Amino acid sequence: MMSWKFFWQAIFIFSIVMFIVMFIKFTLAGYKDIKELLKDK
Amino acid sequence: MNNIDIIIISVYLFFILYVGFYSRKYVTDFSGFMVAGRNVGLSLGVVTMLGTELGLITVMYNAQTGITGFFASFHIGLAAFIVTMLIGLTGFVIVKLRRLKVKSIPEYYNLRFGKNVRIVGAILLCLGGILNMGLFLRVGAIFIQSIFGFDDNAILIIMAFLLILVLIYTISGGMISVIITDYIQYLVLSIGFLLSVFFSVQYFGWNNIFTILENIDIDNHKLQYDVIYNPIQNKGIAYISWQVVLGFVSAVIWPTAITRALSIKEVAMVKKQYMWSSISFLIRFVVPCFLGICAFVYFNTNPDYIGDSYNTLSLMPLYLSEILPVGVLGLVVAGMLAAFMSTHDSYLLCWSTIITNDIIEPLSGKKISSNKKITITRLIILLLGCYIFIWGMFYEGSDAIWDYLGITGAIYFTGAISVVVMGIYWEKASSTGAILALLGGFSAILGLEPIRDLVGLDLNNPSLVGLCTLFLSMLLMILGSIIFPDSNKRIKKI
Repeated sequence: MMSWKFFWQAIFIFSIVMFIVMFIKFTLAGYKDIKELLKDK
Repeated sequence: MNNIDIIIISVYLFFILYVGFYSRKYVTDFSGFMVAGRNVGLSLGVVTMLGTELGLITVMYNAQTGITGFFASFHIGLAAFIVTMLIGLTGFVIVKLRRLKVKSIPEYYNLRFGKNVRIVGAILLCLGGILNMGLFLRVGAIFIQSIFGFDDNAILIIMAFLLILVLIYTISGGMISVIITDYIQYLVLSIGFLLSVFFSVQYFGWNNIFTILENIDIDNHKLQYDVIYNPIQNKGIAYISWQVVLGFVSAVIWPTAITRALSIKEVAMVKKQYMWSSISFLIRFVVPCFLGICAFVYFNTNPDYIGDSYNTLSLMPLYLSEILPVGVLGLVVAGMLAAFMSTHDSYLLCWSTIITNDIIEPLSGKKISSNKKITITRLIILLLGCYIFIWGMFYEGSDAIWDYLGITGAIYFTGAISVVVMGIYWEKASSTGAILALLGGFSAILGLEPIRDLVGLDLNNPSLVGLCTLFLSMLLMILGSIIFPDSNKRIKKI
């Protein structure tokens, strides 16, 4: 049986990896969206 | 705190104020002020949702939850992640709401059930929401006080300073200002968060965090494995069920989140926004919980501090001020201040626009001009600012902040869940049923600590009140709709 300890460790590592992925992806794409939003104005 | 850290924080604060003023010129009408003209792209939609939901208050209460519930508390983030992901995959509720092009949940009530439900719903929403944010300012001030090492008397001055800062740029720019600052704050906070995790793991060593925690003596007893890791043993089924409800509410019913879905450019983007945001909802719980656990480990093993007693809210900021190097601490504090402001601006904007749009305008019986609405909204933001200052000064509850937030939010959302979900998916849902459900949700106020004390309700688990209220609201919605059906079925026209 998978232990709770291992499960939470896996969840934490998954969170951090996805945090970094999202940070890279949305920082760049979000900047383009802001430019677009302000351009429309 | 080192001068370099103080310079980083000061530069950041001046910059963010400048952005608030700068974005003022982009507000041309009330729709622009409230939902940025529904012109927000997917990436910005995800960023701004994380920017809002990952506030300082979130960081503080999740760190507190980590300190009291250890790794078992991660189930809260996991529940939010699964529920939000399911909503993103299915488009449950959110896609239909976005298609209707409403600006808020009460506007949906109006479309589906009529003006009376809109006004009652908006009043309860604002009551629950405003009570909910009542402690934000104080918790933010405790963070600043702890990290700078100020004494308790400084809290009022810090509260006033933070409040003025937030009011200036929320009043200035509306939703566009909120979105731009959310973006900047997301950047700063993300870097700050990742650095805090990195330095925590570097300080203790990954495996040591778990090993040390398992060997800490509390009152001459080691912490049991189940207490640290097993949420069913640690918290119980009722509490976990309540977290699933809160996860659903945070994503679908809570106005600051749903406003992000309603602001997004295209209907097709809403589902993707929620799928990505589900990860944000996981991160916002798990990372601060982890930092809280590290703080607990630090203060229970460091010989300089063993035996000292600390407020559980102060522990995480104190810990960060101890372990982070010069420069990084400034960045993290700037990030946390960013988080504080991004939540406040969104909440202030959200409640004030709902009061204007969904209470004042319908009650006035005439259409209020866009400019006048913006002026009224700015005045309400100012009044809300005064309220959170006063509430923060006088409220003295002992419930954990997360439990306080859950139960105050429940005043609104237990009724709203029934009304929104059944309104969309059950043709027979009626306006009488909706009003009864909303009023039934108000009974969640019994779970608030001062009210519990007042009526002599001896309960150490307010989540039970929340679950009972949710059940009552759903029952009232069903019975009210069956016994008092509407003569005209508005949903067919939508």
